[in-house]
Amino acid sequence: MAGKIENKYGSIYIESEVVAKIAGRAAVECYGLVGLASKSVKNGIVELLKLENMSKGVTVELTEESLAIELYVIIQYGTKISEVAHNIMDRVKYSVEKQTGLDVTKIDIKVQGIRVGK
Amino acid sequence: MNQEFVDAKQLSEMIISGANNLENHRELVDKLNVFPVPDGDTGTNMSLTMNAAVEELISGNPLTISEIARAISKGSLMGARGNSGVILSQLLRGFANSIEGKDSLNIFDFAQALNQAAQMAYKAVIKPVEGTILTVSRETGEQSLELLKTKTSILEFFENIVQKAQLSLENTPNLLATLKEANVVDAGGKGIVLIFEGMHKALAGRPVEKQMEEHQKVEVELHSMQGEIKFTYCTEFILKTDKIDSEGMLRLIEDKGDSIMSVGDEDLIKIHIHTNEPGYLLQRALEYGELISIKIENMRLQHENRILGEAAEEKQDFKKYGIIAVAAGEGIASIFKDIGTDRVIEGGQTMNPSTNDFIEAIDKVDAEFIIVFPNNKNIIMAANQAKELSQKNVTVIPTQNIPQAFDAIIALNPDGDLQQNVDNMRNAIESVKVGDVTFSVRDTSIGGQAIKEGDIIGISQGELRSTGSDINSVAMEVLEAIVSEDDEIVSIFYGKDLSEEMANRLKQSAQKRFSNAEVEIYHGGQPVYYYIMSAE
Repeated sequence: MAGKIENKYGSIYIESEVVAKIAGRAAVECYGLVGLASKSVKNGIVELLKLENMSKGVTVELTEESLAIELYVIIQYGTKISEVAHNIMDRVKYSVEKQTGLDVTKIDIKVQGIRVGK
Repeated sequence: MNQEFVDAKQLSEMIISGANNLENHRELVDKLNVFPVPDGDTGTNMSLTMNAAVEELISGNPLTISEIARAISKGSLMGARGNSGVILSQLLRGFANSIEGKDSLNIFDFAQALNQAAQMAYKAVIKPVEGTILTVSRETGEQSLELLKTKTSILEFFENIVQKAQLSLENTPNLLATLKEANVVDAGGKGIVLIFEGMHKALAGRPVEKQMEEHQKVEVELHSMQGEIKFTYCTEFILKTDKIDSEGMLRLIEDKGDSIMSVGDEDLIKIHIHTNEPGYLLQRALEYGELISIKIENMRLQHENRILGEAAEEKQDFKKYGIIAVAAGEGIASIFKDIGTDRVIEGGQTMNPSTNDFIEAIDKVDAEFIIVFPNNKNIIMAANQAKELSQKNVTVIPTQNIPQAFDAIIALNPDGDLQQNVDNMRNAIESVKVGDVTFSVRDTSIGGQAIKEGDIIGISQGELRSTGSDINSVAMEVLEAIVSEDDEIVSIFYGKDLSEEMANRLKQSAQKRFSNAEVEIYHGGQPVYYYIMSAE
């Protein structure tokens, strides 16, 4: 299923993978986020994703009416987690809407871990 | 004074002064905010975060540097707000870790702490974006190590830190395209510079206090509420006392109303409250000292008048051109109304309207084309953003001052074609020459001239022209600069701090000196600027 924008010439379809990439890129620029985590959390081990696999830490549900994004993140120890998560929401919503023209209806942040030190 | 180290008490004062300086310029920082999300809250967020650190600091009454370190680190972590607030909390945490366990701080300790602050802040992000608060703190840290080679006294060291931070801030648009496009420096970086500035001022024996002006701004918001009024009387008074502090006053009155503010300064406490028992409160205050000024207003009347007024205003006929202008001062606002402005937005140098204020005004004007005059360099951006967001046909004429807008409005032909009108208005703006007389808000030096805080300064066409202690003589010098042989009209708008008599004296001197021109004075009622003058 893809996001659709119509105008007088026809339709523009945006694949959910594209939204996931944009969301992932926006997220890694967010302050306090130190990684995206793989969403297939088997046996409780959180896998920190490399930059090129960023979009694996993002799920996008795109329907005719709605666009919901979930991000699985790892946050830096010693920051205010709730505030960092909130900032990620703001940033992702702004970037996705600005670049795709689609309205984001929902963003969930799932904090999978915190990183101590560097 | 060649002080070589700072003790716990001084460090405390420096941090509080830094927080106050940030708080006093909060709106300026908000206005710069275009990155990462242009929502205009960076100043507010940083200020709330810094104030949370200060509250923790004051309430703990720390005696050692280690206690201060722990307080600011904890307070800012708990109170972190927004992206810039989270970064600031990490900077403070790094700074605090570095100074922990020291009895006093010399310039080596400070340089080390500034570097550790930046390192801590960089740790918490995968892809640090340069041209932000991160850059300014890192570069300031690096520069501080250089300063160790040449400086010995703390005061001189910090003076240089402020300069280096400022240079780094000015470079941010070269690192981050978003800033360059919006023609601003980074908001978070500006916040850091303000904190350093406040710290330096405390060291120099002039700690920054919180400004009361904040209070008037809040009041505007408090009174523009919708719906039911629970407390009828907006009550304000200043109490001169050494028997109770602002906190104590607050506790005394807090169950008697809402919108309460209690601000203390040495032996004065300023109280603002919406209440149904103004008499009782004055009586209570009198037990502690002397009342200096009292103002009690019935808000129910104000509120009803305003609602009626707004309803009347909204019933306008549809017309071709609608005009919106930003102005400070009731005299200037009424001149705008007289020459056909539909809506005047309160604002100016010290109080910039938000994008939202513009959108509300645009919504209320029913016209085919809406022309907006921001009348201040710092407000043009908010006006442009409102234009982008509005569905209506809005044109922003980038006026930088009031006289330009007056001339542009007079040049507007109400039945004319839009493009033609825009060209005419732009020409009108260019032909008017403008000068102001105001006072300096800080010690500075411009073009080798040293200026002290509170000095009268004259500005012509945006450049500092003259300084002095007599307002009218400075004004005459500015007029010398802007009025030329073939000018026909000289207009002088005098501000709220001047008497008509004083303005008349200036008019007489000016008329004598520029006998070819017609000199006119108007009551502008504007704050900050003693005179706004134009020649054409």
